[in-house]
Amino acid sequence: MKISTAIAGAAGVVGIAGLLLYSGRASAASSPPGGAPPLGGDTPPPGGDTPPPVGELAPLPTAADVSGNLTKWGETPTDLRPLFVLMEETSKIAGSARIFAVIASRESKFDVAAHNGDGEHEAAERAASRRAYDNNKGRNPALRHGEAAADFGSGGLFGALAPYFLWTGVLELKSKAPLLNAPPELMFQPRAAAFAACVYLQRLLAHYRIDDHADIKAGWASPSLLTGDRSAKTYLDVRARFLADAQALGVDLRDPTTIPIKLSASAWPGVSAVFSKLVGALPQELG
Amino acid sequence: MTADLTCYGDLTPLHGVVGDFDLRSPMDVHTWYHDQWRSIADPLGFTQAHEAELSRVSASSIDVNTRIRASNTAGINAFARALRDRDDGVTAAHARVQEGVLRQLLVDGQTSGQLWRVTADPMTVTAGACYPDADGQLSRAFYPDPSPGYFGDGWRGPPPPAESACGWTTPLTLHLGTFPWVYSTRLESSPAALRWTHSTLQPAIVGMTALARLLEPAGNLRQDARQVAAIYQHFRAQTEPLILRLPQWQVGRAQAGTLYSRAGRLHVHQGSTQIAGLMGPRGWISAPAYNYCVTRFAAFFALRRAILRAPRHPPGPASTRSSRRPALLCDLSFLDAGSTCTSALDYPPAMSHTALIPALFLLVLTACKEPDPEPNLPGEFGEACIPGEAQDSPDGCVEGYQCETYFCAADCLKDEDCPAIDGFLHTCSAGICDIFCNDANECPALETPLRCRPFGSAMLCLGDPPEGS
Repeated sequence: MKISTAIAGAAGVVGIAGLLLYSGRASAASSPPGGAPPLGGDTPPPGGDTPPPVGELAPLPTAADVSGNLTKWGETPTDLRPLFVLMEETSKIAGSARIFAVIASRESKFDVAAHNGDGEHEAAERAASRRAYDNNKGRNPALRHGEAAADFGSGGLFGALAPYFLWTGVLELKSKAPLLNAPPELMFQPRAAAFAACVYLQRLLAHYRIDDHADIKAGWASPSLLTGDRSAKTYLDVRARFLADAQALGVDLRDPTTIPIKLSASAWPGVSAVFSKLVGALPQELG
Repeated sequence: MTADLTCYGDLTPLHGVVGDFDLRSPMDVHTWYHDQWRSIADPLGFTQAHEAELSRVSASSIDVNTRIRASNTAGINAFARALRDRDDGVTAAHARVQEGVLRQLLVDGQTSGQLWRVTADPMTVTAGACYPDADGQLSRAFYPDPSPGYFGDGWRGPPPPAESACGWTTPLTLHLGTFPWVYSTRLESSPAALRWTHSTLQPAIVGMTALARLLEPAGNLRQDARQVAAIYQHFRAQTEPLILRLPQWQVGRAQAGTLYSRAGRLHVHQGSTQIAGLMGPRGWISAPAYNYCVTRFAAFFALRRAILRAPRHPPGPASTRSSRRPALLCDLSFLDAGSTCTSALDYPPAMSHTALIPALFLLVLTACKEPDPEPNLPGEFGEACIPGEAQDSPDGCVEGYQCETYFCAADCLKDEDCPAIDGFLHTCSAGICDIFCNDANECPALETPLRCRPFGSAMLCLGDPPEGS
């Protein structure tokens, strides 16, 4: 058995079947999340009337929390740059910060609460998460909120499919994977989304043939694109979109001072270490 | 008496945005200026460069005024460093005209006390505010910004008296007090003026210098606060109805990715403010632009209050008030904050400013004027002065000079404007001539003794406060 086939088989178990489908579905992020209600509409309720969120994690990191360079990021939001840098510094995948930024620009338009699956016309997204759950629940540790995850669709900063998001780290940690008891809405917490994205990138780099940065995005859409015909239209389209996204964002993928020619996960510190540094301890109700 | 500046209208929404501080306390000053520059650097993406610059100057700070100037210089230097990492936003020709215009507006704005919003006839500035584009056609070097927006109801006229070569039909108007959000109708998350940069010239630095000037006590006092108040009140009127529709942020109850109103600012819980904003009748205003502008307004009035509270910093005796300092007229009721010669100047609320100002003048004159034992004239180049004093006032400097670290330094637009000093480098930096120490760390012998001290990464000749002050 070829190694890539073996990994792909295992990957299905642990959620490497694609954080997102390759359609670039970020419909929930198509309008700015913070827009005020239109004038003349209903006045929104005061903050106190909304139910308390589940699983509040630490706030976004700031410039003081990282040592990496926060310039040469194009139009990447300045308040998210430290998170991307922290992801790179924690995962020890040099150059990954700006790759994460380009991916987030496509998957969520930098909206941490982007949700694809809650809209009327997002049945395909819900079907994808249902399929992911049904196909893998027998092989993976149980999810406390499995049914909710199955019906959730995808979302968060990096556009994760809910079941795969919650199974993050299962291959290494088995039933001690950190998100098994969490609800899918936890992916709206950027630190949790960042953790899942780091693990996912590590697995792509460690187990798939990644020829260049655009291949990362192809694998992000679906690892099958990396194991199949590389002249296929879908594969080429995903790559082209990624390169266009980088250009539109103003991230120079060919600048060796910020991104090496090829990324490497050889210094990966392990799922537990990454979780500990990015997320810390989960709130008690999720632990 | 509290310097609450109520004569500028209701400023209470700003109180929670930027806190008050004591201008006499070095620690207060250090913290306040650090916070202000963080509030500038964070959204503009040069926080790291700022911290690096600041670490080099904090140990060398001496008195409060030097510390303030060092803080501002560190901020400008950090901004310049970050700009170097940006791609060219304009052509060299465009940048050249922009820089020339901005330098001129910086000096004019300071002189007139209208630096927050500078307005000029384009025909009177460098190259008529036109530059040759790639096709050789002349284009406007700045956006005209004539429509009603968040800072005002537009500036449609009067049109330039002569025909513009590049199509200017309105005055050139820039809001340097909220640089780099300088246009009333363009408050998107990526500010237009951040693109004022080229590898050979960085006009944006002049814009940032103007902003820094308003953070100096002298620059703050020189600015007509009525202009700032009017712009703020307009901004508030346009944004308040939008803000009121937002939920209030509450600890433990906020939802990730949702936009809230929090302590007078906009806040996206666990998310980026840079993709959030408000849509109102005056168009889109991004959350970073809103937060930045409201912070700049708040900082301006917080500094003004601090100046008026500090005994060494309030403007000099009332008899020296110049009609060229309209910024202070409204503040006269607070002059006794640092004085021992009057009590609070209460006045009925219904009393108009027109009637109030002469009355205040009279009252302060009567109450405060004391015989001057020796004639005290405004300082000329190199003579002693007190920062914050009015131009042409006894403790200030004559026209063309600014009081910098207790001596009168020359205004400038370029190095040639700085009078030659034998054996010393004397160059123009952000509108003021700096005297560099010589190789032996000596300073020239001027009327005021100067000492060689580190200032950022340079060694400059700086003055000291008068003894006993």
